[in-house]
Amino acid sequence: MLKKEQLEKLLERCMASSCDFAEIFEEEGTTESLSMLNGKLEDTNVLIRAGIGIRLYKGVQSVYGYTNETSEESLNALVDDLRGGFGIESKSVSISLVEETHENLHPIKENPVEASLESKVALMVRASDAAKAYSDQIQKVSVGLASVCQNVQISNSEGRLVHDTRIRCRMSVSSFAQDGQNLQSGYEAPGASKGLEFFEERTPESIGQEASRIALVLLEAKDCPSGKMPVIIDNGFGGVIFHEACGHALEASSVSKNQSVFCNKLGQKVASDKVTAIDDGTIPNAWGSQNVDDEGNPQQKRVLIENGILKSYMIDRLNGRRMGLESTSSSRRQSYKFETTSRMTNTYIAAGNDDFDEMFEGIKRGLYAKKMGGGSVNPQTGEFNFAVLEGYLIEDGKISYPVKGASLIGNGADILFNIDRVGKNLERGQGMCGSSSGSIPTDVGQPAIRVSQITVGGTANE
Amino acid sequence: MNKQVWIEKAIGLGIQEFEIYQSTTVEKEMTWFQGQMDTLVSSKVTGTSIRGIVDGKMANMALEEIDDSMCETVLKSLIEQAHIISNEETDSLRKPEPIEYVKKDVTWNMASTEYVKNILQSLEAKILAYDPRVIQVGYLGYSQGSGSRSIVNSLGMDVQDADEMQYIVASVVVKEEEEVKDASLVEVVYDFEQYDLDSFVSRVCDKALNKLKATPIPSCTCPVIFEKDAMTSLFAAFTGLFNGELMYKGISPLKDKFNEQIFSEQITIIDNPKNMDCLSIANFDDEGCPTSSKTLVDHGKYVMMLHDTRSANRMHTNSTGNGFKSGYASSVSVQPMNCYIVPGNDSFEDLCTKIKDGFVVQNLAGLHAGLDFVSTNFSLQCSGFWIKDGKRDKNVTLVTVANNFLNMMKHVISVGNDLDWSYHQVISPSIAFEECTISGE
Repeated sequence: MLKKEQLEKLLERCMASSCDFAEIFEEEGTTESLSMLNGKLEDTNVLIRAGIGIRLYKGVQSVYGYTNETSEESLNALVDDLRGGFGIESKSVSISLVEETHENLHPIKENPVEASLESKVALMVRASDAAKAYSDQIQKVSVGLASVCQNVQISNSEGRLVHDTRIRCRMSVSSFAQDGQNLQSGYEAPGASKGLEFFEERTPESIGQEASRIALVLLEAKDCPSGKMPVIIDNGFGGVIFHEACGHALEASSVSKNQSVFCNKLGQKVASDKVTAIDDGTIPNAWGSQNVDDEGNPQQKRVLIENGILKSYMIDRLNGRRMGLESTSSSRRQSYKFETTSRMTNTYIAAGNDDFDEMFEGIKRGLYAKKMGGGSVNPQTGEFNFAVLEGYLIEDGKISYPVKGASLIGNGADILFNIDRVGKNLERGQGMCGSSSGSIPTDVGQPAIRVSQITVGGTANE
Repeated sequence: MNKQVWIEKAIGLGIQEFEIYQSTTVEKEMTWFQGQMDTLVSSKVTGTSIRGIVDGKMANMALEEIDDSMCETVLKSLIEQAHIISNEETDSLRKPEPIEYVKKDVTWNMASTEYVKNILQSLEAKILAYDPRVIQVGYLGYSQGSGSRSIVNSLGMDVQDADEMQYIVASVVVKEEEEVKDASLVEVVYDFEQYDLDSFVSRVCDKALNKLKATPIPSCTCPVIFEKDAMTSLFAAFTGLFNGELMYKGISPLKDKFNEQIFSEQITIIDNPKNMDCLSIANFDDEGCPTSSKTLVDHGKYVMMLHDTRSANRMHTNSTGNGFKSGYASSVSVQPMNCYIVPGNDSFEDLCTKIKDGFVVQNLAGLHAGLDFVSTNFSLQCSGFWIKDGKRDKNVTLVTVANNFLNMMKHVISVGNDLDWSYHQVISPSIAFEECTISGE
């Protein structure tokens, strides 16, 4: 990392242009990935990351440069290239950085990057063995363990100097079950901004068993029927529905350019009364949490929708300028190779009061989506899609049989109004969210919810 | 980085085989929004990755900051990783082999920053003036880049090459009454002086405008044409079917199907990293193995799978030169390059005539989640149009198309002749299939 005096000189050089703001994002860290097949460690890969990203603003325009050549000569050349984007000026600006300190809300016990390889492999073997032992029909088990330690230093022309350390780990298990020609896979991948102590609360055995359980359910599953029907989406990763259908369209990167179905709707009703939605980057040790965002602002809890009324967008500094609104500390990026922008952290629908069993009552034919896969959205049109990993047909108010190959599609602005039940069992699940500033860890979450009508895409010929 | 010092130190520490891969990329991107430059991004990154074999086990590391003083510490870490590998197979690096070099006869005339500003300003104005229903240029960008890679190893390998490119991309937003649609177009540009901006504008605008007045249709099972862009996306998601590593691991849907008829006789698939029609070519893969043209599926019969050195060793065969990295930081894995479904004779209009009544899929969404590679089932959000009596009828949106990929590829009506490489490395022409399940109203 550059020293305070080096940063001040570099920022002063940046400001000797027609820009009105400059920021330096530095990063050092390690990413380690281990992969195992059938209990044997197959691959290790370690990335030692180090680089720097420099950003200049002029009004709502930005120029951004990044490199891993961090000599003074290289950085000066990069800054001069960037200044050229706006026009170099000989003005003299004095910058004095003041270091900010923030409480570490996400302390860890055992750094997963520094822990011995043997201890990590032992955790993976436990998951693999448990997955394989779940059933004779489990033919193959693959296990991955990813560990990340990212140190960042953020400084800017307003005098800010902030450090943060982000540590997280995640185990993924894929179980492959076979019955004759029928080959199916199940997947489970929990993680947290924690060290290896995470696997004391979420044991490797439970991760392996869950992956195998899903694979076996899919072996028995029938093709899913199609058409519009009521859908109950269970808790945890089911929250991907809000993430895709609405969350991305509430990011300032879409809203500030009038590219979201939620533009100009602050204070308006955008969802049913039962919906309160939150993006909270402060949850201790959650997968998508940080102490500060990638512009150095202390993370926040943001109430996006309260009882159906749109209360806030997720805003970064640059898009805040476009919108005339303050940043909500929502700026995130994968690494120094990405210009930061507004992103989600841990986003969830808050718990409601509806009883889970009561949600099934009155449904003649519908879908119970117990586990969701990923999805995507076009914020411009609001059209979203996501996959059902484990689903069951509902017939006459009762779970009938497992179904496979289902997807859910719709329009985000519509679906929020169609949520007519919100349960009590709030949980969160972990995912990697891809967007313009790269792939970042985000939690999605919700209690079980019921959507009165949504298009289910299935494979059954009817 | 003194590579010879690293190699000698590695051997001295007991690493039997040692490799250094380095790549450098220099890129410049500009985006334009509402009459002015929006963002300008400039970058230069050099990445180094190393692989070492210790007692037949391979370990990988990648470094963004490298200094010869780190050498011993890094190499000891590599050895520690190799010792923890517990698979039963033996890995190795490659010895140098004769490489037959081919070179594309193209000249890139890279645009200056000021010239790019003028181009983007002109493009935005032309797009907004194209049709009153065009309400916004949602994204307008230019990107240029150059890259080089080198591979050196302790067995005498010493190869390098370089590449460059520039392209423009636009996303257009159109609106009619309350309906909003958008469409994007990416185009590789060798020389802007020779480039037809008006053609680009009309194609991206028409692509968006042609999506308007679209509605869902009732759920049904019907003949379906996947237009070339949609078929390319779907095919790209399933090229892992020909991955020798997955075959070896026993988790490929085709694990017992080698040398069997897996697709319709109308389907032939070729992988050729030296295909001169493609944007990028490679004379060697990221392990230094020479590349070549391979027929993977011959008139429906699965005749060859793709290998890197590791998967080839494990299946007692030779690498096909398909060991590539997804960037310097990733490990080598089996990947197709310039892989395509061989076009047939029918034009797109001929395909429409042949299916008479059915659905044309033009756009697919959610490919990262809506398909299951193991079972090859897919259920994907899509849009397109309905065909009635062989002619384009109403536009369709917010429906899903579902099938089993292996099963669908056995029931081909006809393969189109409209192969268009553009910037792709995996591609397909339009293909008409006997039936898929459409879910809508």
